[in-house]
Amino acid sequence: MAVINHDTREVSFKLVYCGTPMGGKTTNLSYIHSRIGADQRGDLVALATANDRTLFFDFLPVHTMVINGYKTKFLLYTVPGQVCYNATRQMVLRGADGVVFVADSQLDRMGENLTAWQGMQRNLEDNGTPFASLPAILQFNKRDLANPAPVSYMEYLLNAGPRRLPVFEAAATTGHNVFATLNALAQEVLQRFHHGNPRAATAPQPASA
Amino acid sequence: MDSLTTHSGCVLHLGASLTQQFRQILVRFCHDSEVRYAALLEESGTVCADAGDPALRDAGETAALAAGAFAALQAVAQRLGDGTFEGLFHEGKKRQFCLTPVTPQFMLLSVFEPPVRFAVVKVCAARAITHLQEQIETMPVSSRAMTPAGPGVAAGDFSFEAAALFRQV
Repeated sequence: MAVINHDTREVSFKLVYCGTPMGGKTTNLSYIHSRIGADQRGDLVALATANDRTLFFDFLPVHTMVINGYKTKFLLYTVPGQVCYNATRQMVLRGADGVVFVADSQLDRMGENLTAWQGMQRNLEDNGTPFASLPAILQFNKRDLANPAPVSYMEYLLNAGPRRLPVFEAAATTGHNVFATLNALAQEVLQRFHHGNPRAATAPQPASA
Repeated sequence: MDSLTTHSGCVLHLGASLTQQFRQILVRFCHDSEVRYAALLEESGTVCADAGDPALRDAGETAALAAGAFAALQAVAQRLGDGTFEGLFHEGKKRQFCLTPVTPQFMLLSVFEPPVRFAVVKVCAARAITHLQEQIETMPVSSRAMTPAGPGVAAGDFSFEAAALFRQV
């Protein structure tokens, strides 16, 4: 849920990175944290297990002056990918203004992509946020690894419904299309906010980083 | 423009005077209870208003963690069969804090240090929460309706420059 504070002249949006376990959600946030100006970000908070698996969520606040006269904050969250953390995922998704679904491009991960994709939609519905009305971006991550699944196949699995989402082929470890993904979602969220109508937003076109 | 709309996926619209009223309540709470810092948080992890030591402010990391911890513990309580979650209290050696529900969507964060006692904070917080609830509840019902974007947020009220989005350095 967007929060407009006229007293401090700030607008805040909550963006959540969901997706397949070990798909690169935390890597997206780490890359953004490492490559955005220090004056545009806060600290990266990671609640992880001893072996660096996300336990609760990762959090990174970033801001810009994209809305005239108002400091615009985007609160970036990741959810834990592992199946056992379903209740935690649902909690973190509460009040989201937009989501990035980070899918793993390795062929043997397609089943997990589909499970995570359906789980995210179910979590949103259970929170009272119909997925159909929420700004969303698909990121096919790990395109830099050997023998990635064909994009057309991943589109068939994850993006063949009545609502076609913008897709970015990415490699979060090198930063390829990480910022493009973030900016595309931010733009869609802002368009929806600007028009004041969840269904009035026009999906942005994928752009290069 | 002073309204408040609360609904997941919609807009929480905090007018300047409402925010100032929240802040006055928090300032009074800090004064009465001697807590070092108090903040009204929204469940998505946003600070709606705060008062007290500005050194305890941050870019939102504390609010996000507090909101997450609150929601997690509330869920644990419900799973364990307790539907009347009263909040949480951390008793540290140097600093203590408590998180108390204001409404299902808002919570009060209070940070304090010895010799301030939790019992005193709890009593003062109860009073502050009543006032905060009054402020939220006295808003016109129409302003709290579940609209996609709150009153005053019409097309063109907020223009944005896509070129000002994020660039990697």
